[in-house]
Amino acid sequence: MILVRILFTLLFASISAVSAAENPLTAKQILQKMAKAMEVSDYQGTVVFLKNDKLEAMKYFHTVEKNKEQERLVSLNSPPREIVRNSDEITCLYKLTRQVIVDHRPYEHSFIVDVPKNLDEQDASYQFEVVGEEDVAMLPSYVVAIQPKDDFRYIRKIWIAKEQFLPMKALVYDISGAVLEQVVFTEMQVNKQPPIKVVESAGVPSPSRGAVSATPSPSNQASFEVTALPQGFKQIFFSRKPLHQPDQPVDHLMLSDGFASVSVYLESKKTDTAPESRLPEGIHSVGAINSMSRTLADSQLTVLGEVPAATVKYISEGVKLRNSAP
Amino acid sequence: MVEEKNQNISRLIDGELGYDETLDLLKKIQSDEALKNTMSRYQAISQALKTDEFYQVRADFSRKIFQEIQQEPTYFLPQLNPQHPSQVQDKQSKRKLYAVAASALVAAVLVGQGLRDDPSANKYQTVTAMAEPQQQMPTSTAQRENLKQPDRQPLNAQFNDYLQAHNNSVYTNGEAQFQPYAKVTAYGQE
Repeated sequence: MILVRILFTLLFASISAVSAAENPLTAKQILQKMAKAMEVSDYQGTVVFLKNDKLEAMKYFHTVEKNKEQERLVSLNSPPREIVRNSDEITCLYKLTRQVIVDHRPYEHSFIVDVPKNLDEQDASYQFEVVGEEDVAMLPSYVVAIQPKDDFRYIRKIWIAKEQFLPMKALVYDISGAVLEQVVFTEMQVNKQPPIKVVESAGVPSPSRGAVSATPSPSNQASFEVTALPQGFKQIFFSRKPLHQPDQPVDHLMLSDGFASVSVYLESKKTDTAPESRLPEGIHSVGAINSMSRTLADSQLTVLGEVPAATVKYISEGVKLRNSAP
Repeated sequence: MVEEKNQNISRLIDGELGYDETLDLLKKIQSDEALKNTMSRYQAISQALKTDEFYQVRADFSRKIFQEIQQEPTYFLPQLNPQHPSQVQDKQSKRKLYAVAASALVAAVLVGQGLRDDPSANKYQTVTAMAEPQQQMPTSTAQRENLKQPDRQPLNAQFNDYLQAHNNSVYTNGEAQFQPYAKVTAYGQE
């Protein structure tokens, strides 16, 4: 009887193994597992950012304690600085100048890669595919391609560790296939729990910290409306706050298709800002970021994001002032 | 006139030509195939006279320097002094010319030094390092506009403010010294 049970167990195990081999994980399943692993894992490593033709190597720490996530980046090169994300608050400490920058970003979740929670909503805009397996930092990884279905967004690839389901490498390509941005782990250790970092804020006057919060407002409070958006883009955040001068509020609307984000800024041109400090009209580019600036009545409109130039132009042309004639 | 140019080429190879004259001569060599050949011959003769050996420099030496200049990364720093586009273009043209001059001189120095330092170098190979013809110059601003390339000139503080408000890449792309309005506090400064 025992022998029969063992035989059945072995048979069941072998069927399960064959079944698993015949039904490998889909790209979406891998991305969903990655998003979950990024939320719950304690891991650390060395990560290299290559953006805007600049290379930055940093130590990265991710910790979860009592369901609270913390990300920490420590620069390996000058100027020495440390960036800490606690939920939606980012704090950057410059060690030489002893400055602290506090920033609120409720719509971002990771320094490494942001993946939307519901990937099915992206089906109209992107195609997901496992295009191979490669080692990154000596960890066998899936290579998942996120291919846009139109020319309004960039191509992305994410290398995800097969065992840990953590992102090891993420690349952004333009439509021609040229690499625009890279984030790569050169080494990673999982389940090494660094302590939650408490940012030293002694001496920082609390009103100053309070002044930096950017509370989202309903987007219908914006003095403009966006009438044309590429497939999949949604309004996710609006704020009105000074960006350059205390008496000069800037309307800022954030749009996203889940992977790419675009900001729309509108501010009055009736200020004493020096002309050379103003963004010239037209399309401008830095790395993966493209922007388009133009005059809208007596205001300056700028659309900026990590999308192709055609996308910022398209969105910009669809922006109209509220309660104004077309 | 031709004799004068030949003499200047000889002086250039011997390092006796003044800065402005060098630039002027290199400009002429770029567009004159005969002068280019003369310079090549003179370089070969000069090295044959000075030593028994030649050091080969790739023919595309100058062109590669042009390409490197063209591929210079874009730095998004605020413009300190706004300039008229034509002035900027003039300056860029001058810089390119200086780079050609520098590359030609570097090639000459490398050849000479290589001969002294490397006795095992192949003997009597052709020295081909010289300025590339005008056609190899980078495309003009107008041509680039025709290609519908976005403007990649350095922008200003306003763009950086927008970029900082847009996403967290400013923290990770080396833009370490940005100081956005109302987001900088100092603690315990001495």
